[in-house]
Amino acid sequence: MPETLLDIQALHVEFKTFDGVSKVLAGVDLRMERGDVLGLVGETGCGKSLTALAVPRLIPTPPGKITSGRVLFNGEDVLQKSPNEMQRLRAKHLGMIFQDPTTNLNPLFTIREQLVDAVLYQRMDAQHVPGRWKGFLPSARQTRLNAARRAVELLGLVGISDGDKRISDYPHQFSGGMRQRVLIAMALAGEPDLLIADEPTTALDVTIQAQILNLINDLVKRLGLSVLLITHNLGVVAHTCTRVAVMYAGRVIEQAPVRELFKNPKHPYTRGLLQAVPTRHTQRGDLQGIAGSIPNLNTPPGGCRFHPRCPQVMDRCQVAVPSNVVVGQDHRTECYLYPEGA
Amino acid sequence: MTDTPLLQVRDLQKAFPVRGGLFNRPIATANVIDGVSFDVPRGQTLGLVGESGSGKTTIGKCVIRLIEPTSGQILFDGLDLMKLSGRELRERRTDMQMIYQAPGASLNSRMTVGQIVGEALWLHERLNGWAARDRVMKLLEVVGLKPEHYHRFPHEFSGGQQQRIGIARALAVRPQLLVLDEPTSALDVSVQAQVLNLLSDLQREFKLTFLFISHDLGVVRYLCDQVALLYLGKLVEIADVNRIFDEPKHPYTQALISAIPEPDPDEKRAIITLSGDLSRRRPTRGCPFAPRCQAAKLEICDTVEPPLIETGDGHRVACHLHTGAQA
Repeated sequence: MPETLLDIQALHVEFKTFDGVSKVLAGVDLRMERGDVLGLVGETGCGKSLTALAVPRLIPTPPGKITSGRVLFNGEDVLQKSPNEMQRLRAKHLGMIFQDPTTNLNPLFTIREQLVDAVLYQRMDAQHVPGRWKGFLPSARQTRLNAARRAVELLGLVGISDGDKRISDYPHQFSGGMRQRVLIAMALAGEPDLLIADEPTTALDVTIQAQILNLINDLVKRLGLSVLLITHNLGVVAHTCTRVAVMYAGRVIEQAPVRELFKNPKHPYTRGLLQAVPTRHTQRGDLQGIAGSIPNLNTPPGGCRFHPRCPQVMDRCQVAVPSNVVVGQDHRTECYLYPEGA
Repeated sequence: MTDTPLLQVRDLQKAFPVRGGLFNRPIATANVIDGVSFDVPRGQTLGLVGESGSGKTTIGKCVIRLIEPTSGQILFDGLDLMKLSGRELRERRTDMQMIYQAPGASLNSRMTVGQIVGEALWLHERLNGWAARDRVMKLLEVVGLKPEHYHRFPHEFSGGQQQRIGIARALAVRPQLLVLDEPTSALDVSVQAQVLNLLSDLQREFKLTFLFISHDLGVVRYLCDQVALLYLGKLVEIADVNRIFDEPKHPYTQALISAIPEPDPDEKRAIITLSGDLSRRRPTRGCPFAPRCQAAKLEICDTVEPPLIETGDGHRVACHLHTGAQA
């Protein structure tokens, strides 16, 4: 029985905007086992980044607000934790990397300073030791030296072999791919259980993308890491992930193991998405987009939020949101095309 | 007449000054484009592919002289664009238009769609009033927008629709050549597919010639007839799209193609992983790709730069592995 690492239940998030309240997440259900590499795919604005930000509770509040739902991480509800507990959780159990590696590094400090900070932050609770033990603790200087040694180790882990030299460089001396490696090293400083990667390769060239994806795959194998990989590139998902969740307008509409989803997509949106990617077998003129565009979430369409664009829309789709049905081995979707309990 | 390619580029060079030192004087030059030659036949699409920094956008802009090339020859319909004066060039510009990557940033946010598209008609044909309005309406229909969009502002549209406005503006002056600079890389896949289909329909309908700049090989394979690969401002391989994808000859092309993530979990290909990244510090001698090349290295790679040679059927490649086979 694999252990459940992350379980998001009926998560609702709203954003206050000038045009009214935007229901950005409307009941997200998502489950991850330990060791999974879960791909979260969907179009711009479907809420995939926000779902991931809910785990370390980094949704900007206000304007955002988690209105209901539970986020169970390692069996504990993240939403009930105190700020101190949250900080410890972020330091020790979660690592995050983002799309643009340039904006996430401070250009004024060397990699050493930034990486050592990350390492020290992860050992934060070691500082809160009762007074009489203080004398036995390593000095601040010793701690920083140890941290610097660990930082070089981390750089080695992410494939920067001359880390002891490169560590005193500034971010601008690194290329895009190398910066992303540094950020991965930083995320790994706390030996996290879960790495949240938000479009980690979108800003990179294909050859560099291949390097970074190989690195992530390698880390999963070596460190037993679980990864929540947010992307809009289905090719990246097919290569890297073990499971996939497809999001549309604030709901997870289909979840399955990667092979099952690509071979046997059930939801009309998933099918549309797969047909929209040109592959080596696509003839000219064969490519099909999905008509229309994503709905305005201030006034989302009633019923299934996909129904205005759906090629197989029925009357009942416009009335009520379809419930989650099991359509295969570990394969669930939200669509009226599939009878419940089948 | 139809036999001569619409666009012939010969030995195009562009060097930018590198400034530095005291008073920020030019201290060196960076050869961003280094002797690139290619033809684009009428009604066809040439894909320009390369990593960021390989000079593909610069070529696109040089071809229509938005950036002044340092040297070289650009023959458009047999006419050397490099010899034209400003006024003559402006007259010819109606034949060549450009579409940009960021659809939002290339539209003036204070103008309505009608003004944006109509401006081109006014500037080039002195058309305004109802005559212009009728033409704009027709153009909007052609690119799949509705008449009620005429009075709206760019921010009211989604990314895909904004790109359609850009296309309508480019088509307004009835061009023959469109330079498309990563037109779909800012769009979602479902919208990207719509725009790609629109482009290929327009090409058929108006007999357009495309110079398609992209780093997405999947899109290039779908849309282009010919593909040219650039590495550090040098053409490394150019051929028919099927030849490039079925039998790539240059090690760089092979690596790039193997790195495309295919949306098929069963497809387990050996990905050729290139070490390092495209560096501006290119080697002073030898093949510019040599430091990253995964193929068996010859001694000559580090000393002599390989020329672009024909290996049959219009397939040209710049690699010593193939020059050696010829000699």
